[in-house]
Amino acid sequence: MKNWKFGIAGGVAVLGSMLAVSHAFAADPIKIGVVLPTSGGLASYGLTMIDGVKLAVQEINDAGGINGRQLEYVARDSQTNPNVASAAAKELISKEGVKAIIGAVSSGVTLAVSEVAKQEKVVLFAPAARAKSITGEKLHKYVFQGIKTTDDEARDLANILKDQGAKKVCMTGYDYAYTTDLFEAMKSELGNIPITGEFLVKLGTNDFSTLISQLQANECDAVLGALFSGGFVAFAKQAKPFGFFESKKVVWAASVASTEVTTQLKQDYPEGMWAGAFDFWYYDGSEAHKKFQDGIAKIEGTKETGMYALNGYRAMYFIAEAMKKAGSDDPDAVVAALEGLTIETPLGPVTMDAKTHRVDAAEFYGPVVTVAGSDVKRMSPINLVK
Amino acid sequence: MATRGQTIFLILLFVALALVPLAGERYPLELAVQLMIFGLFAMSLNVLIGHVGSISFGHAAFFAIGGYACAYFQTRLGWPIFVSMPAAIGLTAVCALIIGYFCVRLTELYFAILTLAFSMLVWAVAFKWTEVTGGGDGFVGITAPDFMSNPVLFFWFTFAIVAVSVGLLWLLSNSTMGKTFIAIRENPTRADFLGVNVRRMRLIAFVIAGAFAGIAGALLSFYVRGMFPESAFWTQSGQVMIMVLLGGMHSFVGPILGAVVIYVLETFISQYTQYWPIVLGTILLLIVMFAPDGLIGMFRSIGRRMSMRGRRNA
Repeated sequence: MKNWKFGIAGGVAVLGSMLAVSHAFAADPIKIGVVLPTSGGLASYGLTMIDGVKLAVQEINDAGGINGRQLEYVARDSQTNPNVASAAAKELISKEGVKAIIGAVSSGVTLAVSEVAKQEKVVLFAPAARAKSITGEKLHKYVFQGIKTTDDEARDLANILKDQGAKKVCMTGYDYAYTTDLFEAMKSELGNIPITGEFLVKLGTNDFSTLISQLQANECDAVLGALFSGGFVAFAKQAKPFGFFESKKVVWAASVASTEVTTQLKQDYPEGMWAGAFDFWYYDGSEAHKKFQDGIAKIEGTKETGMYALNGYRAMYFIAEAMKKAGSDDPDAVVAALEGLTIETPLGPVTMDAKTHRVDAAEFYGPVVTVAGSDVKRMSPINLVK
Repeated sequence: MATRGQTIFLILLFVALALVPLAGERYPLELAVQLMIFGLFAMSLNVLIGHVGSISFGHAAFFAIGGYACAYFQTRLGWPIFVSMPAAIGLTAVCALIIGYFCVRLTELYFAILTLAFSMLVWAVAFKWTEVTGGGDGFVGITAPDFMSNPVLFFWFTFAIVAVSVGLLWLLSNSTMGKTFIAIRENPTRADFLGVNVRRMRLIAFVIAGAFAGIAGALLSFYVRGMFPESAFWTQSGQVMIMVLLGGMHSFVGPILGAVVIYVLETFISQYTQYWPIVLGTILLLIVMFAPDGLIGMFRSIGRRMSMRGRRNA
């Protein structure tokens, strides 16, 4: 009799604890890791992307979460260092239990995190690294690239140069994987247009006086530039007094038409220079774009938001939609759901190619010009190029 | 030279590390592996700074050479680990011998600047020699033995290598050679008069330091399954220098302590603030101003004061 009572009590206890465990499991949020630079030279990119991630998480949770579970992001600073980023990714996986990671910014760091994702079998969504090797020679099941690669960017830039009637092109940029990949692709995209020189400077260089003289002395009539962020800002300021931007047709890669750059340069931004960007706060697009911009403006406390927010936002939505579709956060199921997945974004539908793991996202290209009522130049007209 | 207290501390440290797998959790294992690698890296630099008194600003060069060499031998040449790792360490030692041959001809600031110049040369080679090193993208996707996929086995592998390395460094520290190094640090002129070939001894220390940094680099390359030019950059040399300074450059265990404190602080503080570099700078400032002998020196001083107070009260 006694044993029988103990049996019942034990059964109830086991059942109770199982229910408690299952209840706790159902309530557990789904954690998504974010490995982006929040310190150092690329911090502004990482912090803006995290704003996008934050907005996406808020919207998804307000709409009921994923399959009844709330979404949570856990961010770590990559310090734009592959070793630090790898350690951070391992910590997110082993301690926080994340099944998907959004990261990183530079190609070397992204490849390092990609290797961790491959070993640990978790999803990696690269929101801002363009190097084609990420989903080219280093492609594996768990890695996805969320922006155009250097091949796609080269095609867009070559078309612009051709439209402008470039006859001879010289190119400049940092001695860095992104630049060498881009220039390699440019060579085939430019076809019969000869490349008369490639001028590479060390990453982090801020004195461009020699480079400006070399470019001006070159026989090219068009220049393709690929210096980015603060490097482009310094170059533009130093080249302006030499009349560099008036002496040749200048087209710039690396998305330097962004608000982040135009705000820094203000009236020093080369008038009419063609460049690209992922997004603009002043783009008069769809209702979805307006809603997205309002959300980011609220987080950042300014309506003049950074373009990288869109990358983080899109990355989080891709992962969330894939988890919804898969009905679980299991990485293998999420990978299967991501392949061929189309999501609605503030700039229209974007599809993740099932084979290449690359998106067909659109980017803006156009001349950056002075606009009435603002000391910051803007792109006008704006062309959204798929 | 390792004192009795430091040796006991070291033994207790490794006993504590050996208990980490018993926790049954993954993250402590990961953290312990990282701490062991950077602890060994810092100890290797201390052979130069703490033993012979030569301050190197370019020690990361050997860390990177060890990592790249191991990655290349293992992945491109398909050598087994028991061949690739010793070969990588050997190659690092040869590179240290060549670089050291030029560096030890100079002393003090000139020595430091020359080591920095050589390390930046190594960085440039790593960055530009894409066919071998992977260039700016790094050497990604090292072919590692299957057992390394198991975090517990990888922990024991690292533990064994680091324990043997620290044991060898302990033997060196307590050997006649170790004492000769300290004699050079304290007074190179007097050591010279006593018949010590100072330049040769400094070169030997340089090669030993380089080889142990190479071991740490090889372990890191297996851990992150890659090697990147950032590992040879001057900032990496700066970070390990701060580890040694924080722990205490004239003590045997100081660098391990410094590595643990800096690495753990960096890992956890950077989760809450983007201003980790400011914290690191403040730590460096405080060490230089208030604890020039590092944490070990500070503990010694506190211990001395307490015992003096105890004696006075008695």
